[in-house]
Amino acid sequence: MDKRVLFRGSLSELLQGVDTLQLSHTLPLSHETPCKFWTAYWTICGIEGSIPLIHGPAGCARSAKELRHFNAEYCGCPYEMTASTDINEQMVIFGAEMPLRDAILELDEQVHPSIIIVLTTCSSGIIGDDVDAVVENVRDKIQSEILVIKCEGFSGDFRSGYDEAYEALLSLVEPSGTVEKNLANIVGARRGPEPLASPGELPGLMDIYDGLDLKINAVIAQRCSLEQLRKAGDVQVNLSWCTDLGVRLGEMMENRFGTPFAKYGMPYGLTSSILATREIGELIGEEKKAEAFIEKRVADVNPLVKELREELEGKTGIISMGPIRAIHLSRFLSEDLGMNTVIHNVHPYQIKERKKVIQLMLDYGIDPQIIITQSAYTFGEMKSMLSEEEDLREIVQEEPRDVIYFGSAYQFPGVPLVNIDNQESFPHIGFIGVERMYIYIKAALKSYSRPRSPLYWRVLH
Amino acid sequence: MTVLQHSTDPYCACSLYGAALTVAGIENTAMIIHGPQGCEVSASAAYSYQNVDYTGKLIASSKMTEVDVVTGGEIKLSYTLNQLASSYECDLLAVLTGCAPEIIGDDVLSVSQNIAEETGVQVVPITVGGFRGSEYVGIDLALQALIEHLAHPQEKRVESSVNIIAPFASCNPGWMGDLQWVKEVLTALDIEVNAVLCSETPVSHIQRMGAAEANILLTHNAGYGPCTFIEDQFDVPLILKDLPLPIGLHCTRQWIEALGTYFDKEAQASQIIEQGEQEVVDVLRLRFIPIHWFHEHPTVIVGDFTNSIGLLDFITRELEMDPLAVCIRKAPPHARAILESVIKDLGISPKIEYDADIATVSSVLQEVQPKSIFGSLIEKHLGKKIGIPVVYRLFNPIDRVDYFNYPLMGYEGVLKILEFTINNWRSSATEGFK
Repeated sequence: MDKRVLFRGSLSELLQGVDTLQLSHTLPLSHETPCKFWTAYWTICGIEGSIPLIHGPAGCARSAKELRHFNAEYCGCPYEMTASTDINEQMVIFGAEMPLRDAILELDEQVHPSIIIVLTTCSSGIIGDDVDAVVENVRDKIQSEILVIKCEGFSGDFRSGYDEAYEALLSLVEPSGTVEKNLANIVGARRGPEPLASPGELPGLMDIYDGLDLKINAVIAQRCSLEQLRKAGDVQVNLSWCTDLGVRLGEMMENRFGTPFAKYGMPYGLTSSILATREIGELIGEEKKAEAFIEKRVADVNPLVKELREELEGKTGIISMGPIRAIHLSRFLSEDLGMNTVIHNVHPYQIKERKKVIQLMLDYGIDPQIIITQSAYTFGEMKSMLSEEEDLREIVQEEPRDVIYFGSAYQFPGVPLVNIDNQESFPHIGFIGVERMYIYIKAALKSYSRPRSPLYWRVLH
Repeated sequence: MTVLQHSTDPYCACSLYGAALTVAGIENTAMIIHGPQGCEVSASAAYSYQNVDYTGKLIASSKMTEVDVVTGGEIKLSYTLNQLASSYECDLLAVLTGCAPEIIGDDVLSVSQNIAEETGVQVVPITVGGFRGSEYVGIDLALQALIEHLAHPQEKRVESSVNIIAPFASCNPGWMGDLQWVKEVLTALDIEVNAVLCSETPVSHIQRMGAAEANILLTHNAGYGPCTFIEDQFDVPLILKDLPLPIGLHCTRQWIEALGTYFDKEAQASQIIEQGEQEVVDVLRLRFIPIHWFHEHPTVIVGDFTNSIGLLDFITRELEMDPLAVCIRKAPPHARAILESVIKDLGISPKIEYDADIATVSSVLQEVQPKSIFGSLIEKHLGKKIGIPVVYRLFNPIDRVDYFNYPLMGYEGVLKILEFTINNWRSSATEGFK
């Protein structure tokens, strides 16, 4: 096994060494990740009545707008247009500033959107169209609000697309100077009305916010209106949903509008839910209300936590999922349930791109063990999945304690498997999430002796 | 009528995707997307449309960054090609360029040639920056490049044989069912399939395509250019080129008859037609599908050329519907004459929109106010806005998962169209009652 293991240590050690480790930060070339343009597009799809105007070939718009088809089909949204300037070979040679100008004027006149958001692409970026100048020239001639997001696919990591989009959206906020008590924004949604990565996650947070009598002005950017966005600077507090993206947006808003920011997003488990509730209570001056709510919810879920702790204390929880969720989950397992936790395959790339948030989580006192194995670098989707399963099995075999695996049922290491991917298991977070996790952990413990379905094995591998 | 003159809300993807669709249909071929990482995500989607699951995907991206745009991406491409060649034992490496490397002028041809010499693996560079046009343009560019690089003149011609060109250039999500049906008809006529470009195609089949007696283009969306090239280079003519594809009873009859005539197999062709038409009648009687409900029903077709021409003929001639409009997503000029000749033959005058984007379709629907639409998931949602509840979802993007490929062509296709139509109508009506 040792030759498969490339790193074994704590999260803090990984963070410290991420720039000096002998591990590559580069994802395998076969690993498909969206570009900066896609993530910027996804984010602005969360603004109701917006028209993204993609300044590039039609293909960029066509590929990205699958999200709008999804939103119309599954999230109850009307079908909303995505326009493209459809840059062609001639425009690449002669420039496409005039076509962009004409497109903006026409969209404003014909479609009357509340806002037109111009997104640049590789083509318009490389040929050097002065998109800002075009937009400034037409701003006074149109009724719609207008924004520009510079998000050429080559110009940064895909995560920077979220930042660019958030930054642009914040230029629309118009603080009145009066703060409305008990009003909040939830920040860090990233794909329009689709509830983050997991359907049904928001109720876990709303339970806490309702308990503190907070009203929500906007979920940014999950289907909020331009009006809600304009008012977003008048709230008493901003609340983090996704720790990663929420922190970026929350801090931007804190710096710009002075809005207090409750950073503790994605509270997996009892301890985290208490800390998150307490943080909000302190920021809005409702400490007593927060404590009363915590007391009530702890009474509800503590018996479940105790029962789980009796069964799991001293055992090892191996976690394999997205890095931020995995780190949050590790606190639930170690602090609430008394488990020894190990996260498998957090790629150095993910740490490097999320340094600030990782530090924040360390500041919160979360510092799980990490193992990175060769499979993190395996070339090819199929090979990588197989290799990960092999590595996981070896980690499990060499672990002296009993192991519970928390991850996707793609893998099957022959120990109880808590299927984090199961859509019905959401919400994972908040006090309600503890109840859900209880059900799914119990289900895993009950059925772990069952063998892997031969059909699953054959389909997956 | 086009609502937006200066922008578009597009149905079709870019040329890079079209090229990826083509290459994904070649067996044991690795695809390199030379461009920023987002282009790989777009191209990768092509595999599922070619029925290649994730275990068969051989794809990588050079993941160009800002530095590469400034200093050139050739070294990165070279590295990616080498890594692919050493990771997979593939027969062919196809390099597909995105917009960025084309605009900055990366010399993809030289890099490809060098890697081919170093590794001994054939490398085909395909320059398909998205600004070159729609996915159909990309299909043409890819077919042309593959034929130019791989096909050789053949000493012997295979008697009674055909190449089937670009069957995947279709918005039928089950297009492989169309291909299967065509192959069955060819088998019944004792006509051999020499090569399919491209669907589960070995590289050797592309090499031998000059041996066929004729080419059949199984799409109206693309392929005319490459077929002309094959004709010029290898003297393999494109046949049935002025006929609508075999969708609906009349067009199917016409198509099979023409095929039979070309290969001197009229009697076998007549037998296939007779059996097929009888099968349709039998099923309709058995299931009592109330086709008479469709008489003079005002409707609109929104689709591609490949499927819409035959469908228009079918719903007008055989279902006695009243087509108020036909909106064609991307309409290459050569196929327009076929649609116009069908319309003339039917004696109808629906509104025609070529190169229709979604904004145009929305406007046409509001103008003509049909009772139903033949289209896709997109028209389902446009219909909701406008108050047209019945949308027969035959085309991509689709709102269901189909485990089996099905034809819209031929006799089974006629029944499949009717099955979808009746079921979509029923579910929409039930929705209305709720």
